[in-house]
Amino acid sequence: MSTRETLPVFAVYGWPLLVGFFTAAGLAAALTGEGTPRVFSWFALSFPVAVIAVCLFPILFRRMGNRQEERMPD
Amino acid sequence: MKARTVRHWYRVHKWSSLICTVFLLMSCLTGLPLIFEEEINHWLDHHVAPAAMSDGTPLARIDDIVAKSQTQYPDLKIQFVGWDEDEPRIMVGIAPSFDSKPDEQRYLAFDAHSGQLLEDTKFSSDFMDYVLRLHAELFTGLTGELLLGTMSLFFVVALISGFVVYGPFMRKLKFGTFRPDGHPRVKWFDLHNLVGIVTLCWALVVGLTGTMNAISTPLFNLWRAQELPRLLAPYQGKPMPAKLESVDAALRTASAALPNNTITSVLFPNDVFGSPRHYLIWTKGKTTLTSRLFTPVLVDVETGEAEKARGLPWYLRLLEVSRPLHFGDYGGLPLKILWATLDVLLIVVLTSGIYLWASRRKATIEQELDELVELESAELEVIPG
Repeated sequence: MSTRETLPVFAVYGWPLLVGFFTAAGLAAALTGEGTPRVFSWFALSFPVAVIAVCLFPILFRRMGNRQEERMPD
Repeated sequence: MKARTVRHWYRVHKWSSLICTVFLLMSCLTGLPLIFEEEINHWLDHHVAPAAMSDGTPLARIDDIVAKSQTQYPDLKIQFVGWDEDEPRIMVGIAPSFDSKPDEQRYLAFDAHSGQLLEDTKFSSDFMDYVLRLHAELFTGLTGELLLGTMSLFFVVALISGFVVYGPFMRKLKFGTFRPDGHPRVKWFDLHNLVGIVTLCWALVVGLTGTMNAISTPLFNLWRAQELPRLLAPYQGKPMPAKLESVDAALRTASAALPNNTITSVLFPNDVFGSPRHYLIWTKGKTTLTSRLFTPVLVDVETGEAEKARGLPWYLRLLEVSRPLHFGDYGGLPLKILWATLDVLLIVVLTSGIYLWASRRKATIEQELDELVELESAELEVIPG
C-alpha cells in the first residue's frame, strides 16, 4: 500500500476530484427536477459512500478470513 | 509543494478545525434527526388530518379563518397565514407581537375546506422544535445564529486547507490506503484522510449553505432596508391604517399579478419582518426548480392595490437555493438517507481529527514537518543544480 516513490499530483488527487465531481453533479441534478435527475442524484451521492465502503471493507473481510483460518486447527 | 508551505497550510487546518469541531459535532448530531423532521413529526403524530373532500369542494374563506383565530385569542395579533404543502390545511401564526419569543407564539391549523379548527399548538412545544433551535441558534436567537455561521466558515477553511495538505500527506500512499493493523494513530490517520477527502465536496456545500442560512435574518433585513423606503415613500405623513382590508381580496390581487405562481403564505402588516402597510404575500413557482424560488407581492392593506412585484435580489435567491442544499430534503427519502450517511461519515472525520490531535506525539507535527524541511533541503543539495 505504501509506495516508495512520490506519486504524481494527478495520482494523489485523481480519485478525490472524480468523487467530488459526481457529488456536485448529484447535488445539482436533484434541484432541477424529479424523475431521472432525482434517480441520478441517488446514484451520484452513493458514489462517495461506495468508495469508502470498498476501501474499508476488503480489510474487514480479510480479517474475518484470518479469524476463520485461526480456528481451522481446532 | 515546499515543506514550509505545507506546514503553513497544516497550521491553518489544525486551528480552523480545533475552533469549530465542538460546534460541528453538535450540528451533525442535531442535524441527523432534522433530516427526517417531516417523517418524525408524522410519526409522533401530533397531526390532525383534514376531512376527506371530493375534488372541487369550495375552499373556506381566509377572512373567516382569520376572524375565528382572532376570536380564539383576542389579545394576540395574527402574524401570518400559511398553506400546508401536502394537505388542504391552513396554518395561522398568532402571538403577542411580531418580535415575541418563539415560546409565546401559537400555531392554529384549520381545515382548508370546512374552515374548522383542527389543532391549536404552542411553537417550540415539541421535541423537533427544540432540536432545530439548538441546531440553528443554540437557543440564543440571532447571536447563536451568527456564532454558528462563523463556525461553519471556519469549517469551510478547515475543508479547503484539509484538501491542500491531503496531497503532501498522501504523496507516498495509494488512494484509499487503510492500515488497520498497525499503530492506532496510523489507522485513524488513514480513516481521517479517506473519509475526509471523499466527503469533502458534500461537506463544503453543507458548510457554505449553513453559513447562508445562519445569516438569513440580516440578509432579509438588508432587503427590507432597500425596499421599504421606496414602498413607503408615498404614504409619508399619512396615519397608519386603522382597519385591514380583506385577505381574500389581497390574495386574488396577488394571483392576478403572478398568475404562474402558487401562494404559500401571507405575512400581516408589521414593523419587524415586512411592511407596516402591506400584506406581504409569498408565492412560489410550480416546477421543481422554481418551487424553491419565492417571489413576494405586497398588497396595500387599505386600498387593496398590489405594488409592482420586483424580483428578489441575488443574495436572497442564493439563500433560497441554499436551503434545500443544506437540508437535503429535495430528492425524496433515498436522498435523505444518503444525507444522513454522509452526516455520520462527517462525524467520523471530526472524531478521528480530534483523536489525531489529542494523541499527538510529544514531537508535534510541526516538528515532524521541520524534519521534512531539513530532509528536503538535504535532498536539494544532493540534486545537482
